[in-house]
Amino acid sequence: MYVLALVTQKGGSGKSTLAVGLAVAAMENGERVALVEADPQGTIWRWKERRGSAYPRVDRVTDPAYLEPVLARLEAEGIWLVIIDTAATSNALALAAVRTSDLCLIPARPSPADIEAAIPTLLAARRNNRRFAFVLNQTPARGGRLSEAATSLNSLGHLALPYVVQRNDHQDALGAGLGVTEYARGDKAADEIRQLWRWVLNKLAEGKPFEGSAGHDQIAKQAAG
Amino acid sequence: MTKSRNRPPASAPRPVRRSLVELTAAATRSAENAAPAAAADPTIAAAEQSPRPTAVPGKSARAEPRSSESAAEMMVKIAKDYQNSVLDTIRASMNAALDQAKDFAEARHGQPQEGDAGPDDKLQAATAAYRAQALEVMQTNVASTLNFARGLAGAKTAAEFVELSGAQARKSCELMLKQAEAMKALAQAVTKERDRG
Repeated sequence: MYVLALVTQKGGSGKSTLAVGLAVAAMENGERVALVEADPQGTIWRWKERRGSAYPRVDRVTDPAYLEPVLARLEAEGIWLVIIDTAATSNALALAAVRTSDLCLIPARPSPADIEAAIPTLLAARRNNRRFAFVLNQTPARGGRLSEAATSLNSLGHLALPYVVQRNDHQDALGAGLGVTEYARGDKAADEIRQLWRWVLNKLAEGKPFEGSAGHDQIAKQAAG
Repeated sequence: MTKSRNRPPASAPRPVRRSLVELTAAATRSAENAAPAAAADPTIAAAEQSPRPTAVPGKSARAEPRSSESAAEMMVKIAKDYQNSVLDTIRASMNAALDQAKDFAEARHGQPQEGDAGPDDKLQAATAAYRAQALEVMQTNVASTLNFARGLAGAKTAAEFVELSGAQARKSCELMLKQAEAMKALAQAVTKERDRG
């Protein structure tokens, strides 16, 4: 089982929106996905209430001591990917999420506030020997500011590709209880999230080769190709 | 009728914009400098000491203040990792050196003996010198590494830590160059003896 954690102490950087988008994109790829919401704000929980489908399943964790048991149970149930969404603060629960993850995604918008706020998370990931990558989120479609932000984040560590451009589809999908790949199937926002999922999949496989079915090998090849 | 300006005229100097790259570099620097201070921040320290279900017994019995524990622990861990990796390297290179010395000797012995003990003795002597040199190199490296590790354990601040690490990197680099030179000269002596024999 792979554990992907979305962590940064900056609020509004798009952790929950990305978590939902990636979970649904992974599910569409045939993965057994679960979301763990470690954020008392309950964004994902409410998204799930709006959602008509039983999948992906959503678990809530409020105490760091319960995170590992929940993950163990999900693994026993045959879940292949867990995406943990954390609160916008540097608390014990977020740190526990970092510790248990195979890959930490640190979303940041192209603003000094987001990039500065990402640095403590980055240090925590390094201290715990976790792999991490930045996701440049809610960017303008093009421009000098974007490449500046990309350069900045690249200087700190891996930067996931592609950048996620600011589009209404993300918010609308969240409101509709859907993943952006379900809400705006053929649109750019969906495309970006699908590509981002392939990038993440590739990174996960780099850190820990796929176990199990031949299907996953195929997915890995797709991701690599 | 002219529209009233809601922006200052273009001639007014605009504040200089600082690029994100520059701001990021500054933030990284200050975060790295403040690493021990950040650990002293109660919220982060609390997070560091997060109530893991399996608490290490005796951890709380430490004499040092808990707040600096994480940074100190990290430093000690880095020092240990460094020490282990250096010791492994030393062990590997020692084995290689000794094997090489053995090969020299065996290559000579493998050839048909013609009773001329002279060059063979010289070869033995050269091989022994090579071996002795290799041992000495190892001892020096171990001493240097242990000194460094001891220094690291005593380092109080991140700045001191970084300084020590840099000094050690420079020292071991210089040492390695010197040693490589010496080993090369000796290996050449051995080869010369063998070829002559």
